[in-house]
Amino acid sequence: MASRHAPSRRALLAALAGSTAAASGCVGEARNLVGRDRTEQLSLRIVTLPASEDPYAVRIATHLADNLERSGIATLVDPIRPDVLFRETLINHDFDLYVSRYPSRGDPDELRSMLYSAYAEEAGLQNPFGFSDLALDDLLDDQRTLKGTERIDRIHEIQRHVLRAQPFTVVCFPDRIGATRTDRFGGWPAGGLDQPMDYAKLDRTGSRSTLELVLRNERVTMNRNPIAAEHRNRGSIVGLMYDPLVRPLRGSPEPIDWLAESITWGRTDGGEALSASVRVRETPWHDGTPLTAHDVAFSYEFLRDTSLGGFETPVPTPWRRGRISLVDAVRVHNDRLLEFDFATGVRSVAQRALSVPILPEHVWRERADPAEIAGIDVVGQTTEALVDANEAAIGSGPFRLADAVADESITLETFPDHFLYEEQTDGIPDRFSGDPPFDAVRFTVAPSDDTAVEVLLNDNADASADGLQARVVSRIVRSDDVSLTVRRSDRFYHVGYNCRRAPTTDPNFRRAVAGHIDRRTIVAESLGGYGTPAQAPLRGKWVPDGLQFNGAATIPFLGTDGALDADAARETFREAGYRYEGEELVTRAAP
Amino acid sequence: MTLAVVVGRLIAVVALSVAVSTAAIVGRDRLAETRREYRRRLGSIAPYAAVLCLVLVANKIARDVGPDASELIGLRITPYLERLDGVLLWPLYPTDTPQLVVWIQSMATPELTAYFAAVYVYGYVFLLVFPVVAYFALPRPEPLRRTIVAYCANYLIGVLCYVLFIAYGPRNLLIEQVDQLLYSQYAQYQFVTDAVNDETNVFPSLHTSMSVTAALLAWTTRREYAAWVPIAAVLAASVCLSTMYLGIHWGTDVLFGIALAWISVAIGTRFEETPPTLEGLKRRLVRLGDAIPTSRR
Repeated sequence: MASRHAPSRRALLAALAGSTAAASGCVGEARNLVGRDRTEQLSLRIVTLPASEDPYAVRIATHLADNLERSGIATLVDPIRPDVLFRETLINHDFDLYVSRYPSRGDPDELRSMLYSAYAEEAGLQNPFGFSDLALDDLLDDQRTLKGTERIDRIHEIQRHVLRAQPFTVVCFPDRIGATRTDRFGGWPAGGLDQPMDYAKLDRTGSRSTLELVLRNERVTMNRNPIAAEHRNRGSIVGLMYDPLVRPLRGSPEPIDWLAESITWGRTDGGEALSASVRVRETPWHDGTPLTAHDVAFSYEFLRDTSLGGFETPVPTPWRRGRISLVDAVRVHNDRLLEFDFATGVRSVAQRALSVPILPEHVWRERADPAEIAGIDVVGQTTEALVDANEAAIGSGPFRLADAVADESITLETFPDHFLYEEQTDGIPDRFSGDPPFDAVRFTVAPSDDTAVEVLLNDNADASADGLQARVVSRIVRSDDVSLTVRRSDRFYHVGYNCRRAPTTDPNFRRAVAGHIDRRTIVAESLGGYGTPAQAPLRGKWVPDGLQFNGAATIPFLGTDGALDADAARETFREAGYRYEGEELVTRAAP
Repeated sequence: MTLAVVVGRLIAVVALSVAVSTAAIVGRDRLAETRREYRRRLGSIAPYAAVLCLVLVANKIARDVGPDASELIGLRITPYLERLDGVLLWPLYPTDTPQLVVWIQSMATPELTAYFAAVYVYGYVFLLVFPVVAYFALPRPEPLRRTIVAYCANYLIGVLCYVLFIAYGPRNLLIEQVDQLLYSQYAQYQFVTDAVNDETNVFPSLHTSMSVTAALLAWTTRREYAAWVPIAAVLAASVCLSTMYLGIHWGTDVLFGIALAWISVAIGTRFEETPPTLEGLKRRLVRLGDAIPTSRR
């Protein structure tokens, strides 16, 4: 009722004001002045993990916040526990800036998942920045169709584009630091256990048949959902329980056929795009139900839309979204045989699509229903599949869940009916087949890296399951029984900007912020030297010469030796069109 | 494994120090009397002890469920605690005010670290347990009742704050400057602290409030146990300092912890002076009912 009266009242007030203003020009000027919004200091909030979860991320965040503070921007660092942080940033998109690691595997097609415009509004690891750029979209699509040096050139071009627009700022690649004991098991990969395949390569040197590992990331003791982006780092442990069609191998360009017994590549009818007919191995799910080609087809359909058509708009998987987008169609011929049509003509790209976990249809079909619990912004776009903790974890992997105590431990045991142990190992290299080096693997949660090392020193575990921080290196090195192992990691630290809200919508603002990051100081001091400063998200041949970090970035640090030159930094913001009042960078106050 | 070892040692050390100090402070006469009268005394504090047990169980449950509940309804205040801490030393350093915790840690020595780590773990438990034993050895039940009520109040208010406020301690934010002295040098203790508490439960500091409560209560029994007053005061002050020295709590947590202790002791005292009766509760409920505005037509 009130709203219907409002216009007339407003009209009356306007008329009054108008007549008064007409009476005096001075009032008109005053109104012009008062009518303008006031200004206030710009404030930003950097969300990140607490030091107990990721000490490097907090340090990068405080480094950036201190420097922004010197440039007159009120900056707070807000540490948040992992699942809540990832929910806020990846799913609810509620942040200004975040500092985190990207779970990269070094594959250039990942850039498409990170930055593709169409993913900006989706919930998940895909385009968390809400970045959109039509020219970049074309380049990202284009790289999927190119081979050899042409593709490399296109990837270079994409990164030049990305570094210019700065939807995120790459800071560094940390080293993966592992600690292992060799008295019971040997064959540890450099940097410690990481990918599921690393576990198969171990050999038993003692008599104990249970592999004991210390776990720093306790989320898997509570949540074993292979597609829940907020609970997975890289899914290594869940990857032991869920098999993909092919498994990538570190250091090898070709993945090995895994759940796929054989893959025959072809071309789609009269097209450039690839197709593949895949024969699935005979192996059961952990609950005894046989795994068929229908499960495989279901998995691809389900990951593409976890509501299975139940919602008006599809609800795609929040993780591995880019890989699923590589599959155009899946046709089942019979229980063992199915055919894929891909959206690419490049085999190495198409193979990425085959490395997603295969889910049992009889468990997951009912999870297509809408989820009705809080935690995620309930906008009707959430299915049970995305929020289910999947505690039973019925997969088809070589290990099945034996026991889990929330926050304390999780034990997996070998699944004797798995095809690996049933001699169905055509196409699988010998070192991965045959009896596993252990009957069970127990992960015990340690509350900190220090306690993890303590557990190893006390001979209560064989290795760390997660990477450790540089601070504990000296403790490991001092010990005779525990050895240190280090590898360069693909998972880079980056500052993510929310390109959906001001001021981080502005590329010039983002570029100015990027100038507040001193990568060399961060790696030397915060990472204790265990890392490599970088400005490009990829490595090796994928990075053009000009974008390799060689002491200075293309957006250089606005200072020297870790100390920000506040005048230069303020000048950069001024050039980008921002205003200072006294010491403070001010923007128009929110109404 | 490690947890059991550390807890075992904790129990042994505290039991030994309580035994020694009981012999020294409580004295043989009181113990002999206690031995004759323990049934009657148990009877007079039984309801209080039952309430304390209930509160402790509720506290344990709340701390397990709390972090999840507080992620839904709680406020994240870590950045504000950091800001507030940054101005606490302003009177001393008007320009370039250092963070309180960083300032305290700048005076660290290995001996101090050993002392504060021991105080944080052993001294704290001793400070809480000894009064219960000592007050049980007194003929009048009031001190013990007051202690139990004050402990309960600490836990109830503290846990409520933990649900309402989500905050990480300085060791989780300022790690460039703040060393996690306790955990980097005595990692074994973290198994205990982690089993007892969630790391987001820092505001207010319950270590501080419980210790200060014990010290304030020591003052109320200064006639009986004069020697306990300075010991409790020194221990409580050390515990307060240790929480900051070890990078576990912000100065602000400690200040609010002291305030909570004051309130808890006030509640304990008031409870003792005007013991709660069923009648009183009814009267208060009626008054509360009257205070709620209802539309009567």
